[in-house]
Formats: sequence, C-alpha cells, structure tokens
Amino acid sequence: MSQPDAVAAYAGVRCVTGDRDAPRELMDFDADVQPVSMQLQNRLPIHAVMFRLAAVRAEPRLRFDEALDHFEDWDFWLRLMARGRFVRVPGISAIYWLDEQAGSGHAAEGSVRRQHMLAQFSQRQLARWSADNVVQLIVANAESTRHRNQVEQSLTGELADLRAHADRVGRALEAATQQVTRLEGQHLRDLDQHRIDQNHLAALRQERAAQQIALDAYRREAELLATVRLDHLQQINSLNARIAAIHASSSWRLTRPWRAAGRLVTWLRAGRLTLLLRNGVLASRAQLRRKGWIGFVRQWPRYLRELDRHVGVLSVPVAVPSVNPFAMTTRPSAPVRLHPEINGTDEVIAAMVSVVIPTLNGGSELGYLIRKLQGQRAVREVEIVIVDSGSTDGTPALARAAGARVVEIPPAEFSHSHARNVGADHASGDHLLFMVQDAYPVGELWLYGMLRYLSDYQEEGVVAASCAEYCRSDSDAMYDSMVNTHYRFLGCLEFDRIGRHAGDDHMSLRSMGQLSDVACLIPREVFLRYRYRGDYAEDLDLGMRLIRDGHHIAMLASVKVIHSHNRPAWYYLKRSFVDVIFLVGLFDDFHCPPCTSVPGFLLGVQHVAQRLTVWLDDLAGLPDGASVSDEFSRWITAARHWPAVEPRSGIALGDARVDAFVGELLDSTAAHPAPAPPALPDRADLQEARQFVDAFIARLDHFNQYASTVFGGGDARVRSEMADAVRKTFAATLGSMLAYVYLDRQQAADTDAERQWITALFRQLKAGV
Amino acid sequence: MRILYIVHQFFPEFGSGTERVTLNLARMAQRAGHHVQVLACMLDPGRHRGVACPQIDQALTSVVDGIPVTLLDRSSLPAGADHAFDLGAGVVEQLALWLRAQRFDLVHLMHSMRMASAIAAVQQCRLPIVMTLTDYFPICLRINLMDQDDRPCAGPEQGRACARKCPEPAWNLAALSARHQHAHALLAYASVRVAPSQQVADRYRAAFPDLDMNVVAHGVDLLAIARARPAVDAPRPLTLGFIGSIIRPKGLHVLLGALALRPGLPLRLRVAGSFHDDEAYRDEVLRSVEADARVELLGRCSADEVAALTHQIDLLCLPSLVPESFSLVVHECAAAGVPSLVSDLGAPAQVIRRDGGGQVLPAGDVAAWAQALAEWANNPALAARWRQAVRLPQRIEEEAFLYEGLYRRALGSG
Repeated sequence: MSQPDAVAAYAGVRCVTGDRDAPRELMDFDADVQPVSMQLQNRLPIHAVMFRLAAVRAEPRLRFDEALDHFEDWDFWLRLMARGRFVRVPGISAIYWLDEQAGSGHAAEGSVRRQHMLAQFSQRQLARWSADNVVQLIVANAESTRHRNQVEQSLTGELADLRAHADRVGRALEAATQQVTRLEGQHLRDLDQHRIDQNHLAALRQERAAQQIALDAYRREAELLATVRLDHLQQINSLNARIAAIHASSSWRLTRPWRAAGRLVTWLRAGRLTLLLRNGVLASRAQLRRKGWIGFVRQWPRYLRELDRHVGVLSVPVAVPSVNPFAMTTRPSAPVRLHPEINGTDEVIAAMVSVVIPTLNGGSELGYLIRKLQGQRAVREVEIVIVDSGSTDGTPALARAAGARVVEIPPAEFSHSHARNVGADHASGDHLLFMVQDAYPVGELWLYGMLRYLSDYQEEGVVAASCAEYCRSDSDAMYDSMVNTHYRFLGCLEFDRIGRHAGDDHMSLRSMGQLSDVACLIPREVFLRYRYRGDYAEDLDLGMRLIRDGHHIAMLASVKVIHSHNRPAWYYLKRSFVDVIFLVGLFDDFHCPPCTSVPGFLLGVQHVAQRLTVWLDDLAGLPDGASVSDEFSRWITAARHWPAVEPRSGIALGDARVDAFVGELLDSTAAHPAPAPPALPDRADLQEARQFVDAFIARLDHFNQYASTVFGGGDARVRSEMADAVRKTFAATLGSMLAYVYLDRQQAADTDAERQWITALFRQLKAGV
Repeated sequence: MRILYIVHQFFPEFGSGTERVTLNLARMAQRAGHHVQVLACMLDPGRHRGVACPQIDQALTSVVDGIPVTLLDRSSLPAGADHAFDLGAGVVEQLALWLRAQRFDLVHLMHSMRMASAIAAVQQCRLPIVMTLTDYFPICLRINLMDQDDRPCAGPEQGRACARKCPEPAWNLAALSARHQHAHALLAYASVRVAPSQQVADRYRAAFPDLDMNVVAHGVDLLAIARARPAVDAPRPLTLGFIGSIIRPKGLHVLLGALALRPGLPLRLRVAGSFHDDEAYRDEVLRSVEADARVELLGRCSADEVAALTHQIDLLCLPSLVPESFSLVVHECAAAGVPSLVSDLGAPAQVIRRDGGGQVLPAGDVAAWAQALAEWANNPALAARWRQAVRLPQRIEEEAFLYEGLYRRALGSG
C-alpha cells in the first residue's frame, strides 16, 4: 500500500524434497524478480503474489488464459508486469514439496504436452517482444554467462585446492597408517622381547636356585673336608712327632753310616759314578776350551763352592719327559683400544698441530719435552709455540735453539688463560695442543693417537680430547691416590670416555666437562670460537662451555700423558683452600657447610695436629714387612673414639710451613679475633671440633682404602710416602675447612677485626696458587 | 689389578739389567694403582733379609724398595733348573696354593730361568701371562745365542742346532728337542709375548714361526738423567765411556786393544763396571789398563752414578762379542745426547743403523775400532752429526704404560 505505483507484491518460496520425516532443502526462491529474466523463466509462484485488482481490471482486463494448460500464471505475470512494478516482500511464505512424480511444470521435462504448450507460449512471447526486450535478454544472458563462468572458474580453483588438500590428507593418512603399523610391529616385538626376557629371567632364577643348591652342597662338602683336614693335620703332627722321635733316637744315629753306605751303593749301582765321570770330563773339556787352562784352574774355587749342584747336574741321566707340562691352550683375549705404539701404524695423518706451552723456568725437562714432540711420528707437521712469562734460566733461548717458536710476555701479563690465548694467536696449525712444561708424551705415536681418536669420533660430535695423567716415577703415594680418585671420578682411569652435557649440577658438569691443560687437543677453528677465560680452572671452564653448547669432549685412557707433582704439604693446604673458594663461586649447588664456632674449629685442628705429631713418629718406627695400611686402619678406628678435649701439647708435623701456619693459627690471638678455646668448651665448640676431626679421618680413610689395595708390607720408602700422605691429607683438610670458615664468616663476620682476620687469611692462602 | 712379576733373581743379591727392568715396571705399576709382588729365586739366602714364607718351604718374603718380594730357595728347586724347565712337584703344588691365596689377576714373566715350577703353578691356576723375552734363554741353553766356539748362532732348529753346535754332557738331541717343545708351549700359553728389541723378536719369530711377538723397548730413568745433568759443562778432554760388566763377552779388551793401537789419540776412557769370576780375564784387563794412562777404572757404579757418567762422556763404546738383546746403557747415553760405537751384533747395532747416532763396527775387530776412534776424535763435524742423530729413547714410564695396555689385552677386558 505504501508503494502505489506497484501493481503486485510477492514473497519467497522454499523447495524441499526427500522423505517427509527428513526433508532435504533444495533451494529458496527469495530474490528480486527482474522483468527481463521473467521473459525466459517464471520465478513467481502462483500462490505468493498479491496484485492490485485495479491494475487487472484496467482495460483491456487481464485474465488467466484458459487456453493454456501450462504456464498460464507465467503468461499472466508477464502481462501484469507490463502494467507496473512488482515489489518483493522479504521472507518465505510457502514451501513446495518436489518429487519425481509430481511438481511444477518446469520439472516435467520430456512431456510432449509440455513441449506443445511451451511452443504455444513462445509464440505469445514473440508477439509480445520488442527489439529492446531482445537486447535486454541478450545483455542479461551475457551477464549470466559471465557470472556462470566466474563461478565455474572459482569452483574449478576450489576443486583443485580441495583435491590437493585431499591428496595431502591422504598422504598424511597413509603416513599415519604406516606409523601405526610400525608402532604396532615395534609393540609386538617389544612384547616378544618382554616374553623372552621373562623366560630368560625365569631360566636364570631356576639356574640360580640350582646353583644355590649346588653351593649348599659344596659348602657342606667343604665343612666335611675341613673336618677331614683337621684330622689329617692331627695325623701329620703325630707322624711328624714320631719322625722327630726316630731322628732323635740312638738307633737312628748309629745306623746313619749304614744308610749313607746304602745310598752310595744304590747310586753306584745306578751307574751315576760313570755318568759323573764321563760328564765331568766332557764339561771340563768345554770349560777348558772356553776359558783356557789358567782360567779353568782359577775357576776351581767356584766349582768347589757349587760342588753339590754340579754333582747333581752331571750325575743325573738325561731325562726326557713324555708329557709336555706347559702344553695348554692360550687364554682367550678380547680386543682393547690400546696405545698405537703397541700395534704400530703405516698411516700419516695430514694435520699440522701447534703445541702451545706456557713456560716459566722450564729447566732441562722442557728440552726433553721439545725433543719428544719433535720426534712424534705419523702426523704431517708439528709446530711448537712457547709462551714464556719471564724465565730467568734461559728457557726462551733453549726453546729457540731447539727449533720452537717463542713468544715472550711480561710476568705481570701472565694468566693461565691469557698465555694460552696468546700462544694460540701465534700458532699456525689446524689443530692446537695445549700442554704444560713438565708433561711428557707416552711414545712417538702419542699425538697420532690423540688425533686418530678425534677423527674416529668426529661424527659423534667430539671436538676436543685430553689425556689422563700417568704418574712420573718420582711421584708420591698421595698424588698417585689423587690421580686414581680423580680419573675414576671422570670415568677415564682405564677406558676412554666421551663427555656430554648431562645436567647443570656441579657433579655432572665437573665429571662430564673436564678437559685438562696437561694435554688438550682441539681444532683451531673451534678453539678460536671459545678461547680460554679466567685465571683458574680455565680448562674445566672451556670443557663446560663446549658441552653446554652441545659438543662432546673426550678424556683418553688409551693414550695418557706422563705428568705428576711431588708438592709439599703447604701447597696442598693453599690449593685446597683456593679450590673450595673457586668451586663455591662457580657452582650454585656446591655445598658449603656453615661454621658455628671458630674456637671449636681451632680446637679440632689442634686436636688432630697434636695426635699426628705423636703418630708420625710411631709410623717411622714400624719394622720392615709390617703393613702400614693396617696401622692406618688401627689409628683411624681409635680416632673415632678420641676424647672431646685434650690438653695442649707440641705440634711438629714435619712440614715447616704447615707447622708455622698451624702454630700461628692456634697461638696468635692478636692475628685473629677468635678467642682461645675455653677450658670447658660448649656444645657448639665440641660439634665444630668434631666436624674437623671427622673430615680429616674421612679423607685419611679414603686414602687408606687406596693404599691398602696397592701396598703390601712396608719398608722405608712406603713408610715415608705414607707419612707424607698423612701430612698432606691434614693440610688439604685444613685448607678446605678454612675455606668454609672464610666463606661463612665473610657473610656474617661479627666484628671488623674478624673481617680483617679472614681477609688476611684469604690473601695469605690465595697467594701464588 | 694384582700383578705378580716372576724373575729368575732379584735385588739385593743381583741387580743387573733384567732385575732393574723388573723393579722399574713393578714400581710404575704400583704408582698406577696396581698391587704388585715379585717372585724370584735366591742363590744365597744369607744375602737376603726377610721372614719365612709360611706357604712355601724354605722361601723368604721381604720388601725391596716398597715392592713385596717372595724368594724361592735355589736348593728347593730341581738341580737342572738353571738350564731346563724341570719341575719340582712339591714346589709346584705349594706355589699354586700360594698364588690362589694371593688372588693375582695376571703374571708378568720377566725371565723363566729357574722358575719353571712357578710357571707350571701359574698355568695350574689358569692365570694369564704376559711374557717378556729379555734374552734368549728359552731358545738357547747358553742364553746368548753364541755357540761353544763363540760364533753367533742363527737359532735352535728345534734343538738340532744345539746338539750340533753346543754338545753338553747332560743333554742329548731328544732332551734338547723336548726343551724346545717346552719353551714353545710356555710361550704359546702366554697371552702376550714381548721382546725388548726387534732383534730379539726376529730371533723368536724364527724359532717359533707360529707365535706373534710385540716389541716394547726397555725404558730409561729419564728423570735421573735430567737431574744428573750439571748446570755448566766443565771443560774436559774427549772422553769415551764403557759401562757394563767386565767379562770377556762384553769385549772391553777389544776397546783397550784399539786404544793401544792409537797411543797418540788425545782422549780418555772411563770404565764403569766390575769384574766377575774370570780371574784370567781380570788380569788381562788390568795389565792393559796399567799400560795406558788414558784409561780410568771407576769400579761398580750405582744407577745414579751411571746417570751422572752419561753427562761426562762424549762417546759410548759397546764392543760386545755377543748379540745383546738390548742395551740399557746405549739408551741411557742417548737420553743424554751421547752417541755410541757398537759392535755389529744384536739390538744396539739395529738402533745405531736406524738412527745414525754413532757407528756400527765388526765385533772383535781391533783395527776397525781403532780406525773409528781416530776418525771420531779428529773429525768434530762427524761427532756433531752423530749427536744430532741421537734419538730420544723410551723412558720407564712409557714402557710401564705400554705394558699396562698389554696387561689389559691379556686380561681380555675393555
């Protein structure tokens, strides 16, 4: 009504098909109807159009043409449309149900009647159409065709995408299927293995049970045999007593000449005299020929001294044993990676190795090291770079004369990292080998062995290799035991070990990330990416950085380097102090026990030092052959039950600097603020004292575990080395524990005096390490 | 590892090359954390201090330089044990019990003379053996591969050559052949066989072609030699050195004869070593020494004194008349940079030919030795060339480490 120029209004229709309980939507006719498109297709359903009666009744009046069986509504709408505009009312106002048997006239294709009516309708259309109508139809058709083409292209693209996607999905599905199949197979194999393991386990259990039964039987038999043995021993003792009685008897003594005569007769009857004479003549001839008459005569005193043996040898007929007692099969042996010197090699590795050695008064041993390095075989070229920091013994001249490249740096410039980095900068090899001046390679294929290892394990990511130490002949038991403990901890005492990042705790990093500057081989390009840094444990730092970056590093036991020290106890004290400070600073998880009482700590130091003063004298007096380790065990057991407090007595451990330091620590109250231990120490004092005693005993016990497996009976050398080890163990314990005290009091010093004391202590112990 | 070193004799009664090598190896193995012991034979119990070994009759136990030593009494072993592989049945059983009680993992056999019973006990206990062939005892009754007429011998030919060249009253062909078979079985049982030089290895390969041999040279105490080096070399005349036992086979008389042929040569000879039982030879040598003021007898020298002597001589002379299996002094002098004149027998000749650190001369040829000494003394360039060519020898730590590898191979670990 709001649009008076419109002649009709229409609404939409929805077409559905299929089962009545589950109809399927085909399409909606709910769009604007254009007069042009209406020329070719009826888009208005018969029931959805409301038209103005006035427009129909206007002359000539419009009616549905009764002559048309089909398309009468279409014909009607076209004629009405010629009178005015049609307005669409949005929305669906009816639903058409379509099926194959029924429906609109458009659906009945093939119908003859329909064809007839379509022809009749077309005649009417031709009569109604003007040239403009045809133009509009052509334009509309072109537009429709273009739109259809666009849709077709779009659909073709989408279809291709869909096909590609389908292919990808198909392949993924196929891969997933294969993975599932593989996993199923693995699972089945695992199940099979599990069943096999179960069966094996069951068999082992049965075997173990059988062995247990056999063992029990053996045990019973052994018990029986022990009883029999005791019986036999009694019988033997009884028989021995009877023999002794016979030997002591008068008749035995009286018949001795008769027995001797009997043996002589037996000996003569056996033709031994003839043999003796004949062989004696032959032997004398041989001696005469060899030594001449004078020489032969001069040998007679010796012949007479050994007369019994000569008569024994010359009077015995030649005996040819029928059975070869040594004919046994060889024991089997398995292949072991050994030093290449043992099996030799014809290969020459095409590498140039620059050996970088920081020096300070290298002495004559450096000359041997240079000669040894120059004598290395099976490596294309070896260059030696000496970085000297102020030697006064002519080391640079010696090194130059021996053919080494020498770089001199001022002593003030020296640090372990800097000197080595300078050496690396002056090196021209494709590999760098860092060494120390008192190390020495094992064999002439030592360098080849290290290079060969790096090459063999390159694909496993190994980028650097160090050697375990092999102690020099002038090492001592303390250093030997430390080498044993250290390389056992690193896992390379007996076999080569590859270190990889296994965790960031200090134990993992230290055991896996250790490289050693005693001998450390690394490709130059790798080193230059990292270089050394810091002034302490720079080799450990380098190794840890390498493994943290995903590289692997090797510690070799198949190829070792000769190196050890015979340091005094004072050095162990300082070194242990600095080690603890360094480790606590480097690793967050390194345990640093608190010090609850400095007087208690000093009480413990005094207690141990006094006891050692006495015991070290006792040790020196042990007789040859007595086990020093057994004496250690006895002393350690007794130490666990020492009284808490003992009166002060003299301290003399045999190392002048340690003795002086301990005396100063205990005596000079002016040097530190800790009060002298009171006559009656409190509970905290006693606990701290016991802590020091326990720490020392634990360390000494650890050393003795090693010594007891190595040493048997002792002599002067063993006693001396073991006593030295006691001094050094005490010094190392004191150094470590003082570091804990320093770290604890540094955080919580009660007074300025105490702070000054620990600072002075730090300076004294850090100097020179 | 628990390692037993078996050797035919030991300190303090004897202290020559094999005993020194054994002690060095045992000490180094101990340094490397192994438990070591030595089993040896004593000829004169009065020269040893020790206590009776409870498991073995007449045996003593003692400690030598930190190493526990068990010494069998020679009189408890068969009379022929110095030459043959005769077993003392009771001793074998006692030794087997002792070996089991000591729980050894491995035996390093340094010398088999007199120790056949010990070896049989080791086999009874099925212990692996690493065997060092320090000389030719297993293939030569006379030990040095020289026949009775002092001519070099090529090898035993399974005993036939011994019967032919060295007829001995107590040995016939059957016995010599059996000895050879025993030696072969003994070597074949060893998991690893080691010779100290290529020369020795070659001889054993020739005698036992089916057995493989390793070569590990004996080491020198490089630290002792380094320590003994004087801070400043004092000026001295050209000095020759002779270091070794003064017995005829070592050939000192050849060297003295060569010097006598060149009385005008401006050099001196220092002789370190002691006389042994041959009185006639002793007199012969002393007469030559008294006749030549250039010669100085130093007597028997300790290891430290020998180390010092290597820095006081310019040329070592080794005029040996027998094929040396290895010469420790040649290597010790090489460590000090001293070249050597050696006779053309044995391992030293191989070393000098290989490296050029000296000259090889015909054994016993006095004139050739005299000529060589004159050339060396009058030609400083030649002396410098020899010194330049001297190769650094293996030190005892290296020898010990290489042996440790062989122990692991013998144990089949790793």
